[in-house]
Amino acid sequence: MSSIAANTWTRNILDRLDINPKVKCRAQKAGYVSAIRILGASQSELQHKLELSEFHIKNLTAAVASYALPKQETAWEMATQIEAKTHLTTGCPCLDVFLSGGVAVGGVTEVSGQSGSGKTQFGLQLALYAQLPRSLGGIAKGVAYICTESQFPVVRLQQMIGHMKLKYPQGPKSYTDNIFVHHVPDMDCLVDCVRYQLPALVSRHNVGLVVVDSVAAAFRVEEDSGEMNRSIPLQAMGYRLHHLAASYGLVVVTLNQVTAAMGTVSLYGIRGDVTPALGLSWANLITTRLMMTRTASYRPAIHGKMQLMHHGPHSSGKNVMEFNSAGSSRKLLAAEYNVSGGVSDISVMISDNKFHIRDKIYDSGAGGDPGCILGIV
Amino acid sequence: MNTNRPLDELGFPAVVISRLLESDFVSTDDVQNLQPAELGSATGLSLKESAEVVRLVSATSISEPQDVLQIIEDESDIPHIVTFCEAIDTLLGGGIPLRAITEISGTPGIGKTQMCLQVCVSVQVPVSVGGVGGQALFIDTEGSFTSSRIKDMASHAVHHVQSISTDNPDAATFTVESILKGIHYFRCHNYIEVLAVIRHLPTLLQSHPNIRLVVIDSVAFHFRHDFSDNVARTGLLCQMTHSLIQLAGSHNLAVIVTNQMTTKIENSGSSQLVAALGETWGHCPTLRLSLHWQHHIRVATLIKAPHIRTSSVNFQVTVAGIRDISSGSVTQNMAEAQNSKKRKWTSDDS
Repeated sequence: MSSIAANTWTRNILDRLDINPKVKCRAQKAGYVSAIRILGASQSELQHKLELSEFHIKNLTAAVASYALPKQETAWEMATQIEAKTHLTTGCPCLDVFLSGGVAVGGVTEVSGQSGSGKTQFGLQLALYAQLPRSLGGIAKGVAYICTESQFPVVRLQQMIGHMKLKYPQGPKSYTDNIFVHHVPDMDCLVDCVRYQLPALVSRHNVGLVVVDSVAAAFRVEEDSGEMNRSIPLQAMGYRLHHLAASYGLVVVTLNQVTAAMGTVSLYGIRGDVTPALGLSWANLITTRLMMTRTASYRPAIHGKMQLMHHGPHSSGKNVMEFNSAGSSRKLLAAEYNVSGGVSDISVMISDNKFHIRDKIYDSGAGGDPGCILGIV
Repeated sequence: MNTNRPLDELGFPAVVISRLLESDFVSTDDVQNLQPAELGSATGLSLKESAEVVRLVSATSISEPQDVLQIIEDESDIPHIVTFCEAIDTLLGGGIPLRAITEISGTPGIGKTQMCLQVCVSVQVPVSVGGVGGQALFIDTEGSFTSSRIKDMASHAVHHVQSISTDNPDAATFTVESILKGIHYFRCHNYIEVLAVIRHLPTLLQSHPNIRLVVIDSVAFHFRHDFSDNVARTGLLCQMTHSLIQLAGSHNLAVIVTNQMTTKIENSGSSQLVAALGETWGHCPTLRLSLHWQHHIRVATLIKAPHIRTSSVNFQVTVAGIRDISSGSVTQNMAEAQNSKKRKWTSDDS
């Protein structure tokens, strides 16, 4: 895509403009033929190089500007567009409400958390739900899954597929045919993969979701070479992901590790003793950041009530959902950039693989099937 | 009048000058208010030449210098856009000022975009209730604009305005729909598109004369990542700011740009958080507002302002938008901070 876009701005566009032939001819002669050259030059530079009056130059830049102009719309038009799919369901009703619809299409969503907090589970679950038809909250598209940490958890995926087939008989026949897994060992391969392989894959195979599991693993290996050396490829990659997400309407989910919070300066306003890894230069590139923490509680299977504790009527944008249930619970702390604007918490449960749990909690309204992230009761 | 200048100072070709002087057109005053055709018939210049003369003369007429008293009177009239957070309004001397560029910088997640959305809503508060009653233009580079968030803020703003002025006819036309329709949106995928929108602004402002606010969220995004050459980047940024500040003055606009933060490593080895895009860019905005966290409280610090003392205030981001922290929660938080200090001391003692 980047090559196409680059073409748009660097190719000769003079013939497409409705301007005075004299101006066209002068611009051609002086070499100011592309949008990038003309818009990048100042008024006086153009006047000097093209030897034309201010009036003609203004016409020229106005014509180029209207050629390169992105689509203009009002917030009202955006809000009333119904056909546009803006969110992908997480498969957990509570999380969907929490994220006001699910994981956003376009932009980069990051999920960070300690090891064992359920990041990969989240990624796998999204990979399955993305293939569901739109009526079920999916986007009916394929998935690109980039692994840097360990082998792709095929066994776990098969378990989840079994439950997906039970829960959504009308879903796709084969889930695995549409998940494209790529293992990359290090930073350079990951950057190359995002730059060259991913655009080709996305355009050829109707991919709608990209999961990078995880960004940190590939980049933290390079830690000894210094923060400066890795921040440039990291930023370049994040920027590419943004571009891809915007131009193809992708859901991009990157998983990130955490690092111990050092010093007294709190960059992100996250409570707790860990912060997401990779630092500020990466954080600047993220649209939505979710933070997962594990609460080490194991309680007997009780059907509790969903406690939605509002601290004031939507005052701080902070809703805590608590639950009692079987299994080890994991708390998802979200520092959400976009939607709620506040740091808010939600608790969800990732059930273990035991099938019998299903009978115990399946009757709850929030629903849930084992092997998935559950919105709890 | 002191705007009068001899015509031969304006750099016309010698032929034109001699024709003008022959027909006794000596100074700019003589040409003022003439049509090109009239000038042509009087001097014998071709229509094209005389059109150029008339255009240049009107363009170079210099405005009279103003005295300071006049400027002070003008400046006291400059309206401000309220942010719905009294502390920030006070910090900025009444709100986001029109005819100026305000930079909002801060770490990710601090609420820069929220602040921009809030101002997009509050710029539309009717004049009769102390607002500006204008429209907003939002240039989105990061794709973080969400119309549902605007809806939340708009409905709270409408509720607030209707509660303070029930029988005002202006308040009745101030609805969520009118607010959403008053926000014009561009999604720019690279810096060329940003430049194109800014070049297009004069045309756009002619067709939408009610626009009082231009937001670029964020200016840093494309300019930080699309460039390998920092000199070229700074040049473009300065050029962009130049046209923005001109438009802000001539069309009575407030311009808000958001910026990212970066770590600056000093010679001594210590590091410090500063706004991105470099030192030269720092001179471009009129006001610079920096947002950061302090003990889980959002703090806004004014770091550059020509007319107000720099200081800090607390604020919070709610569902309704940017709001003051009520005194109760502040004291609670301060107590929290004190407690944590106490804990530290006790642990040190033991």
